[in-house]
Amino acid sequence: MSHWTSAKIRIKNPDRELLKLALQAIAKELGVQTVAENYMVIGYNGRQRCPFAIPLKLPYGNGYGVYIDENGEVRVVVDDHGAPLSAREFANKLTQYYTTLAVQVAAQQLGFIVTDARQTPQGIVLDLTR
Amino acid sequence: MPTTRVLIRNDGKVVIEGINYVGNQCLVDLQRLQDMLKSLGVEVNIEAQRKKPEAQLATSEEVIQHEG
Repeated sequence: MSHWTSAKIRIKNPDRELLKLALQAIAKELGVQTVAENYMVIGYNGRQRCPFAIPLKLPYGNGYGVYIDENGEVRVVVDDHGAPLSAREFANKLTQYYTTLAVQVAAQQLGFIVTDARQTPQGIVLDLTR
Repeated sequence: MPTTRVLIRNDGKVVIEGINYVGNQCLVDLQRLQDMLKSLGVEVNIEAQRKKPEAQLATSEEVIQHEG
């Protein structure tokens, strides 16, 4: 029997290595070669030390940062005024890339083979075959 | 060949589709994937789930066969 399931995803207590890899993918799209660790993200009206960040000169800030709050939830920080990605776009992209990496790892651990992985206008499609 | 297709949408939602599954294995695989993802920090909260038309057809055929 085949089913169609739609779901909302939330990242909580993430794997730090996957989080860094997801951030590296976004950094590459933004033309940044490296992800900084333990980086102070500064904006017009605030600052936050982040375990991982994309250092990038922005009109009112110095990059995109990611940290994990006391509840284990992933938070993003950026002064996005005039930035190439808004905070929401950055958060959505991070969720999407982190989830993609996690699905690939989970598939491997469960004995699935990833037979196809492609980008579409709607998002990233992964085919997992038993 | 049974395939689980995962679409990770640009808005951060996922759509998971079971293809060529027989019986309830589709849901079993979905649950295993959901559990493994949780251990990796991804919580999958199902908002909607429905049988695909071919699954409904298969169910109808099973009922007819049982009645026959």
